[in-house]
Amino acid sequence: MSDVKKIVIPCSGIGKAFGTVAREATYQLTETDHQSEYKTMCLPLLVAGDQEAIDLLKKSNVYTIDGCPKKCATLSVERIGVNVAMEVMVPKVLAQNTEHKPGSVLDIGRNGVLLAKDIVNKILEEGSD
Amino acid sequence: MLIILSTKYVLPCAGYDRPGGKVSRLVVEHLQSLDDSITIGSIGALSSERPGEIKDLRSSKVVCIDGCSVKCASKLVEKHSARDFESIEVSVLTDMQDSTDDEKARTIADMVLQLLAATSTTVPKTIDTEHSEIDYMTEMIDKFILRIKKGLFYSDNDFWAQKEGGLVRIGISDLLQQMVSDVFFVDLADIGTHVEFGDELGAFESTKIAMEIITPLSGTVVEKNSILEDSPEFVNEDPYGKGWLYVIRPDDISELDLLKSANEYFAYGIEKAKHELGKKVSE
Amino acid sequence: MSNEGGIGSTFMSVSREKIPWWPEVDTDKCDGCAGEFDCLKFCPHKVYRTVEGSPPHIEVENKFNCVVFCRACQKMCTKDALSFPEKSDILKIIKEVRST
Repeated sequence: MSDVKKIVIPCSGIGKAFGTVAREATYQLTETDHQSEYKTMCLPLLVAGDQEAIDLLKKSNVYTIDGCPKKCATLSVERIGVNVAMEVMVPKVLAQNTEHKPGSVLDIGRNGVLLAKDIVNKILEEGSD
Repeated sequence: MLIILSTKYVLPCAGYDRPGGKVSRLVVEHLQSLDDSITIGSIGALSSERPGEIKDLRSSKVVCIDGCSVKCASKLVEKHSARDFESIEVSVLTDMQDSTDDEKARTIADMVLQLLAATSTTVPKTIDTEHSEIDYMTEMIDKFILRIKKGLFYSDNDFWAQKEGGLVRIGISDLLQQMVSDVFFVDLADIGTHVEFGDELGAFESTKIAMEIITPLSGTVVEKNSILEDSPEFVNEDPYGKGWLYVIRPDDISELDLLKSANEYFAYGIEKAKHELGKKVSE
Repeated sequence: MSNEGGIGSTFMSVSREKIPWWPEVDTDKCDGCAGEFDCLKFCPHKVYRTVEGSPPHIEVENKFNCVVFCRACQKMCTKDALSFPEKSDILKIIKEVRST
């Protein structure tokens, strides 16, 4: 296992269920079986310009999860000069698994959790090492 | 909608107290002697929003001359015009550091003329018809904005049809796009599919609903908007433009008489929107 | 959701009640999706309601709420229990009423 950390950054989308799904997917990586490999970082902290956070990010493999085409997570990371190793768009993952349509922003439901799992699987399978 | 801009507008920096500003002024003098058809803009007139100045700006091909990195001219143009424009920043021409102001000014004047010439023969950025309000009827109903594009026909299933020569392009109305919310999947029928009025031509799914695309006319699909497979969000972002669905060869163009005109659909849409307010599909 | 529909509304300038468009439920085939009632859950226009029975199943409650030419619920039905009129017949009726 390389020393380079893997950092997953979900978008902050608070208006849509996809934002909650992005965070759920992140927690599935960082709080369960894969927690030794995957960490997360607070997006607003980066946007606020926290230098320590930015420096750590520059040394890591960064995975972004965006809830909508505005791609706030990806754009914010790129804007501070960090390359994104892999970006995942929640709507696109849903389009490939249409039965996993999440519920509401407050409760994504069983299907929402499954959609988060689809995202996690995508990162595990396709994310470069 | 394409507009070729034939008039030329050059906005020089007004920083006369600075070297960059002085060079900008010299550029203008050179330009005026080389091409007297160029309108020289005024930072003062733009700032105070003199109507004639704004009109000149918006109907011309624009080049700004910024004297320094503050870029007052460019900032002002961005504020008053939605179009793309060119800028030259005097202070970045570092390879001319040893030249006299006059030499710099001549070089920059030539650059300006080249920029102006280039765009009078090429096609400039197309005006986004989304922002051209003369093409749309809008109505605010509570916080909901209803936008109906003029010149189109509309079905009661909320699809629009646009005549394009002998063919008809179809898409979903802005009303429907707002009702269904974020579209994340579009499934388009194949080219060559023949349908009768009211048949399904593929489907789409949004966070709120899975819906069929119901054709507003009988005919054969000659084109489909495949880009929606990768970017389904175009349906929401630009339902009358890049979110189009199909181009159809109609069996009988007079069938469009069955549809509503833009005005008729506008009235219908207002009633529908009022009815839908507060009646959200549960997520 | 996409059409207010219902009694008193119009479709293509024809009174909705004059257009015989609504789903027919084949009660032999409908089993209520083992209590899931997929078509009822899917339809945003409250066309359906549940009916007691063994098993509980579906029936049409508000037939004029059904959006003319929409058959989206039919795709949800795994038992092929839903059917609709021929669209061409419906269009003929609409044209006839309009021309009077």
